[in-house]
Amino acid sequence: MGYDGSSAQASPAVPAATPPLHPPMLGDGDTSISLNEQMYTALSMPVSPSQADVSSPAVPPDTAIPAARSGAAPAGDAPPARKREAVVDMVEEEPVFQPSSRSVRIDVRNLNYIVQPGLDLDAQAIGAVLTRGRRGMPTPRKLLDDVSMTVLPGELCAVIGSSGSGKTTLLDVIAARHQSGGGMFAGSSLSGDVLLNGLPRTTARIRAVGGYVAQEDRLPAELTVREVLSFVARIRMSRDMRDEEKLRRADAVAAELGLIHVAHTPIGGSATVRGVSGGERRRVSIGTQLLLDPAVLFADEPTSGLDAYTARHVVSTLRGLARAGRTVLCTIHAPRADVFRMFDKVMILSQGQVVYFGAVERVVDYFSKAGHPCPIYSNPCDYYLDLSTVDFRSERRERTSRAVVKKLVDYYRANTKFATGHLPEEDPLHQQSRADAKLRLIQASEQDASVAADNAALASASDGSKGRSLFSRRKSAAAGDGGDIPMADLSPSLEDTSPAKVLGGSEEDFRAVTGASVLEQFRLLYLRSVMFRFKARSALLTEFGQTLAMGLAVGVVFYALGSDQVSVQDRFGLCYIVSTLFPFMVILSTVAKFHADRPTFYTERQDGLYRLFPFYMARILADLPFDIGFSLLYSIPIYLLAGLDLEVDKFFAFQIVIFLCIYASRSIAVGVASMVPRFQQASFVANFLFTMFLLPCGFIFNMDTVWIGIRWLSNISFVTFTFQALSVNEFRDQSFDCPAPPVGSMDGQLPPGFESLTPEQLAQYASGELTSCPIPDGESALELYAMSSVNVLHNGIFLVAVTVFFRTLCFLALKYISQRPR
Amino acid sequence: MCANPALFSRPGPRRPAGGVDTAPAGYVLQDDHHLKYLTVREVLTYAARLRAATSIPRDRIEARVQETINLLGLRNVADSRVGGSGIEAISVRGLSGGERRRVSIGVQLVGDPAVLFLDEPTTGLDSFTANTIVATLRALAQRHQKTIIFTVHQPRSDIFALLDKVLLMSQGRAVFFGHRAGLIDHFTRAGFPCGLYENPLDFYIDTIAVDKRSLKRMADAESRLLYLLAAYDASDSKAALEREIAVAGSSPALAPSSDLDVAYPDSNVLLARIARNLARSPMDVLDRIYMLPFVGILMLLFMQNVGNDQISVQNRTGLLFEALSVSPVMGMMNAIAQFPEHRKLFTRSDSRDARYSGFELVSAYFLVALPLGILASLLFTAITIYPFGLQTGWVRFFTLFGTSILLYMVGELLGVVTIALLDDQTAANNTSSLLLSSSLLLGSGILRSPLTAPSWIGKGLKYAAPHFYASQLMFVSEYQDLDLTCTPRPGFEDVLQPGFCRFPSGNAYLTMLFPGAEDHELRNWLVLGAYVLLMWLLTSTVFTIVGKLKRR
Repeated sequence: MGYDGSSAQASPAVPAATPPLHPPMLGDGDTSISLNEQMYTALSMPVSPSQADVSSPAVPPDTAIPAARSGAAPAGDAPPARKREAVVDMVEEEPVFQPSSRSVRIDVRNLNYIVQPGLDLDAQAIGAVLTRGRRGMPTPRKLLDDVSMTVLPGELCAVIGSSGSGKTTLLDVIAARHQSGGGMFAGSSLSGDVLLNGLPRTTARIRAVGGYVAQEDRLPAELTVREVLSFVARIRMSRDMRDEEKLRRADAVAAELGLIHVAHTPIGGSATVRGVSGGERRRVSIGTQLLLDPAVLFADEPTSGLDAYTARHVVSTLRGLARAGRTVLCTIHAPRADVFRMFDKVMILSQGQVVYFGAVERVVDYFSKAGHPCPIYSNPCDYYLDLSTVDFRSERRERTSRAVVKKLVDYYRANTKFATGHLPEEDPLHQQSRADAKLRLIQASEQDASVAADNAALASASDGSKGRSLFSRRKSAAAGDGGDIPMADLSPSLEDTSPAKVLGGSEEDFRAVTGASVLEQFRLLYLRSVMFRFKARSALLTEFGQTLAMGLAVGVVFYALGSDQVSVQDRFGLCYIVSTLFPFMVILSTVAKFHADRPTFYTERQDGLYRLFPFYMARILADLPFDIGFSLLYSIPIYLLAGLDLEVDKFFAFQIVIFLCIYASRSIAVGVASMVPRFQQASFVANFLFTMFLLPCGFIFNMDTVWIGIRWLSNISFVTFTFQALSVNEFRDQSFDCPAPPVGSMDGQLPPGFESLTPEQLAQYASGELTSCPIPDGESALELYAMSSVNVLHNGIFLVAVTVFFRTLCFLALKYISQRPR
Repeated sequence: MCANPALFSRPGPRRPAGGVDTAPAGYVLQDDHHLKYLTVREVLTYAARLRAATSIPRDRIEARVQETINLLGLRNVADSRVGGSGIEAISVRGLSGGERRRVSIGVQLVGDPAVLFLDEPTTGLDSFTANTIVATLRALAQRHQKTIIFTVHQPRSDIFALLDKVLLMSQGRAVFFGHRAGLIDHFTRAGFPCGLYENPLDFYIDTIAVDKRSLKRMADAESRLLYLLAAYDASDSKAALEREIAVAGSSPALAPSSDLDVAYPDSNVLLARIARNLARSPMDVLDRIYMLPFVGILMLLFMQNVGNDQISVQNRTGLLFEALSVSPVMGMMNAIAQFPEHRKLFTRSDSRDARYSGFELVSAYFLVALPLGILASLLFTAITIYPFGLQTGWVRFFTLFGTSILLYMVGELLGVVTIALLDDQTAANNTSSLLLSSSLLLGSGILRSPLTAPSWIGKGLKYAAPHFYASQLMFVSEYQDLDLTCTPRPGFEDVLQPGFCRFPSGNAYLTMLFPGAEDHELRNWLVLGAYVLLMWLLTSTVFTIVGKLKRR
């Protein structure tokens, strides 16, 4: 049985006098209406005397339509059943989708998944190991314990369980997205089979036919809905397709998902961009997967964080997708009763073990047989979910709840040969619900056909409707010859025959679509990256303001440098601060930005949207003009305000060196951020590196006097190379004013600095053998700072080398180190 | 969605209000903010003490806290730390979401309010935990005669079963108010019977919600709503409510609140709370202690004894320059890393019911941070002076240490004030770094000598920079009466012209680069000290204003 009324008497929780209940799918067709009417008229009978009060106010026209068929309704009253229908109609409006071009069934057999959590390198975890030895190590956990299931094309299957039950793990394992956690000694072991059309699930196969909608929507906040969809269409759809066709498909998907009215609204969701609603965002995420026409769609908690309406809309979208021939598998946490009924199959997991797998209609019946009838006026899903949750609040509760869960798991294992949702006993009640399911399918395909006409205008017309009708026929045929698709009645054991033979799976099913070429990917990514920069207006303005403020601050302090002896030191000060101030800010902000961009990048890479190289190059080239612009915004005001030489080559050398320095620090930041994919650690490492590059730059310490063991640092420090290059550029061909020589002083006092002169030396000065000018020109200043042998060009080349090194490091890290956001 | 039902759970007789330490009402906000390193007992104790008058004896507060812990079923976690929420939950593990929510309720409950308001107490919790929270609330209402009113979004049927009274709202209008049992009956009579295996509230909320997705739907829903409103007006529940209102109108009003509102708590309580939270986190304490000396140790890698020749002048100057620039930056970084949680607690919940001002918060935080800052500065100064061979002596040591700690304090307060104004760690970091760099540029006298700078810097702007005073103090301390030799160290003979000695003594250096600095020692100390005081006042003022704005 299930919700269906014909079997109500069988359930002990329902009083025998209760009239038949409504069938599971309300508002699907006329049959259900008549059932409803009988029921609700019957329900309202005992209270009808008081209805006079209720019906006296103005009854809205919509709800007042008299239903001639419900003879039992008291005359003059608004017939209750119609009112209820109005509510139900409003919620049951299933979207219709283009049929899937492929169909893939999923069989999971005896899946076990054990994970050994890694040892985090933090004080707490290490302390535990040090004090408790092996017992302090994290213990392996069995996340999935002998899980089996089958989901057929056309079915919407939900995995339900409280947090920690392993539902997302199951989804991830099937979708080949499972990853053992970070840390040392982490590992995992997986046993059992996951079959797609009878063939083993490989990463390539599931990627070719599967789409995965992650729990968090990681869409670029600044782009509009249409931009997001058309980008995915262009980059991922077959390269043989014409561009207009791809765009039309993107629009059709937007129409199918009811996103037309927000097509030009930004996604939003970040602190700065207001955008579409949560449900719309979720549907855009689904849309990006839909464009690839997946035969299998995974959705991890598609309703979390959404209100009831939106959640229902999202699930009915998923159901529509399933009805169009896809295999849809989602996890869900505590769905409402109306949402729960939308699923075809449900798996209830507890601590990685299956408590129930099978048709939704049979949940109540199954658990009633297991000794747990569902109380009235409560959502069976909630009730059974609680039943299969281990309550950790106290030891006593844990013991009792564990016992219940164990009993349920044992009952399930005893009653299923292998978990296909096939209960061993076959009773008439069963047949009833099967008949309902069959009916529902037929109705669905009828609805399909009728709505197809409406949607034809939106979807790319011709082939769409043809495909749909073909599909409908297939479905009806399946229903006709007793193939109970929603029941998953796979009676013949798959262990006996090779699944591949039975199911006729072939590699043909898993041929991946060849998306845009690398060059085209680069072009699209480049355009998108540029668009990002311009659309993130507040970030751009902030960066602009900060850069200008820094440039002006330095420029003002060094305003109008003179050419006397003290100005020598000022000039070194200028070169030092110029090569450290902005680069330091750049390092901090780049690490933060890289971290902020990581989730989108990770998701898109997981979806196989593009290859790494074009993405990487596009990003660098798109950012380059901005990097150059900001660098000039910083360096030009300084140069002009300080009144440095307006010689063309010196001027340009100054700007170029500063740009190379800033770019090198940006590269170091992205290198570190990608090598160390956690924000706190990455900022620490980047900060430490910068300090180690800054100290040996030659301004703070005279490098010739520095301990030999560390002096080499100055040879690899980009700050040193910048400081030197800027100094040399500045001091070369420079001359400084000299104080008067210490001759002929009136009162016999020597000028400052010359107090210690011997009379012989004084004579040498007088004769011109020695000069009174300690730093007469730039060359001697450079000598003082041990920089006379520095070549600006060489230093520039070195800065480029630093950049190339860290950018390569970044590329390799993006390729080989998991960027999973944490 | 505007169909949030507000659910009432209220016992019949109201207890006499205005007990000795009874707050009239408590309000539990939707999100939980607690200092993450405190234990449950500590959080509750401080909450009680922060809202209680000093006169209440300690043992009574302890008893009240224990009672609250028992009431909320927190006994087995009473001495576990609360832990971080959201992303921080990974780094600072602690209580589960449900337990954290209980602690939030406990923070209100220690005041023993007669009425407790809760805004969506079940949001963000799994269904199981949500149920236990509401069950606890029910027990409070039934056994302790409290009036409990909370809003809830999508309650499950098991939660529905725990309620006494229900108010269903749509578009700001009451669609139903009355006993839970009357709800199903009412809607069934009105023609909206709920399915047997269906959650009645889900169904009714859908029924009364106005779907704005299309005009037609909106019109349908509006007319349905009008119909239901009329049905409610005519119902027994409405009549019962009117009768109750008539009775309540004649009964005496709730007495004004007790003596608690008048007295201010001991501000040591706040200090103790912040100190304990910090003391519980060895990493945070360590960060405050090691970061500054760590820079000193890094410098030691490069340079050991600076020597006394002419080249030592550059190294000496570089060393002091680093000391000048690093001290305030470290203070600022600590503040930006550790102050936000206090800001959050203050602006989001404490400013509403705990009795302390922005000034007290800033002062208490600052007083807790100071000893660790002093320790860090002492270590840093020791590292700067001895291995590098700078001039020794108590006065010199104290001068270097004093300037370092004063700058550190300026940095810390700058961090606090930018956090108060911007409420974003990255933005606060960038802004305060930029301000400190500007001050260093203008004031240090190392990057650009004040002698050559244009007069509007040399005579004007530089006086605004704290680094100016600190720099004079440090350089005078180090260079005054410093013996410098004119004989170059081995290997550097050809760097300088023979006989030419730029800085024959430390005093010559000062005359040349910091002229007149020796005469201003007192002024420098006073101004730098005044700077810290001013920053303290400014930060407190900003905080008071921010707290007031947020309270609205």
